[in-house]
Amino acid sequence: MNRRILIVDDERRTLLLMERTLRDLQDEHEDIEILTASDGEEALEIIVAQKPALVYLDLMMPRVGGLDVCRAVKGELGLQDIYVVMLTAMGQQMDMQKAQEAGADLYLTKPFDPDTILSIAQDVLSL
Amino acid sequence: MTVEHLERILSKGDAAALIQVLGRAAGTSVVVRDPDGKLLLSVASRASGVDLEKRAILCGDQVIGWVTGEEAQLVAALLGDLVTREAEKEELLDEILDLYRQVNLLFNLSEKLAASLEVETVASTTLREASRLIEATGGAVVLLDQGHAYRSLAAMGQGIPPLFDQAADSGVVAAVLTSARAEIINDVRLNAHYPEGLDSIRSLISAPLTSRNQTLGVIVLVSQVPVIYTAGDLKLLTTLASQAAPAIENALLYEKTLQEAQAREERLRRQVQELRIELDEARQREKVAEIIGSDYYRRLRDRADTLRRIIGDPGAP
Repeated sequence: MNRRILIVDDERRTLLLMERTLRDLQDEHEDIEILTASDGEEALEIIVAQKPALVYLDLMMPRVGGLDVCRAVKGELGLQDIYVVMLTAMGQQMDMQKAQEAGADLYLTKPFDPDTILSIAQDVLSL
Repeated sequence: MTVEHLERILSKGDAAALIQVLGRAAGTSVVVRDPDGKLLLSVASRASGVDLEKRAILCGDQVIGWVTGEEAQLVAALLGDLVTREAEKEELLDEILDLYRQVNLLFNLSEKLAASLEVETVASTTLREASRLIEATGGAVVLLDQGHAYRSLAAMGQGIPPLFDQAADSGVVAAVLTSARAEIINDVRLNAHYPEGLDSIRSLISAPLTSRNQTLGVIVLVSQVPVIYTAGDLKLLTTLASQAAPAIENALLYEKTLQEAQAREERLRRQVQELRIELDEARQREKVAEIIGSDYYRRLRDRADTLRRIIGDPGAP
């Protein structure tokens, strides 16, 4: 399994915070590659080209939203092996249900817990 | 750390690309090395014939690398500034991530406390969550039991027992209980409340468990290695304590209610048993009276009296 992690969020601040969180892991394991995308379209391009093992995906994004990206990954692209973690500012039951229906493997609310983000990456990448 | 920042900004591309563009545009060569001489960036120039200078890249007073080239001073200053900004940005990100951790910790703690009715579970959950964000080698949640003795609800790690071996009216824990104020003791050896001859603890942070203006106990985190606890640590521990205290009070109330209910049940069980015995005796008495009052018994007694008279029994009626 490759050790590519894709972070998708339209907020630059969240991208920076996620990158900073995961950098501790990258310092320990040089083969971990962290990729970022700031919208759903860019995310799909990277997913098709790089096939990351883990995607942290924001739910609310302009144009192509996180749910659409997740449906595409788990559905038409047939990339079920990619572990998708949906992140959203809203912690409502309905969003969680929508994320599950779209095929997300996990659903987290913002502000994210950095330790949870790290432990998911460790589990998925078998570190 | 700042040497790593230099490597990072040069490897990320933006800074390296900028220096390459500048170098080529000015027709100068630029070589960047770390303090150990490892090559980080090299921009070749069209032979300029100017003497090469060597300048240190400074981040504060620390030399984090060297630049060699015709415009070494300019590039070194630029890289020094970029590294300083990168370090500051990272510091801010770390601070925000710590706040994220705290928000999540408080959220999770509320959920866990709401789901727990056992006083020991509430205490150990609070202690575990506190030690996740506040550096410690040990800790405890202690209750002042009936105003005189300590009751340890939860303990973890090492270095805790000596604190509670002291009498309840002296020592560090007693001081916190009395003052009802959160406290940081970064060097316990210099503290008057610290018992002499014990050197297992170096630093301590504690907060009272206060509910409805009453101090129930104290949460203490200790470290066997020196730690400089901050005002932020104290605020976090106080917040955790203020969340835990009502939960502990509720759990204590539940524990007391449960104990009272059990005692009441035991009392009832005994009363039922006693009533059952009384009832059995009453039933037996009733049965005896029933037998004595029956025709058969009367005939039997008459026959016995007749026989006693026949045999000349003096007690016969």
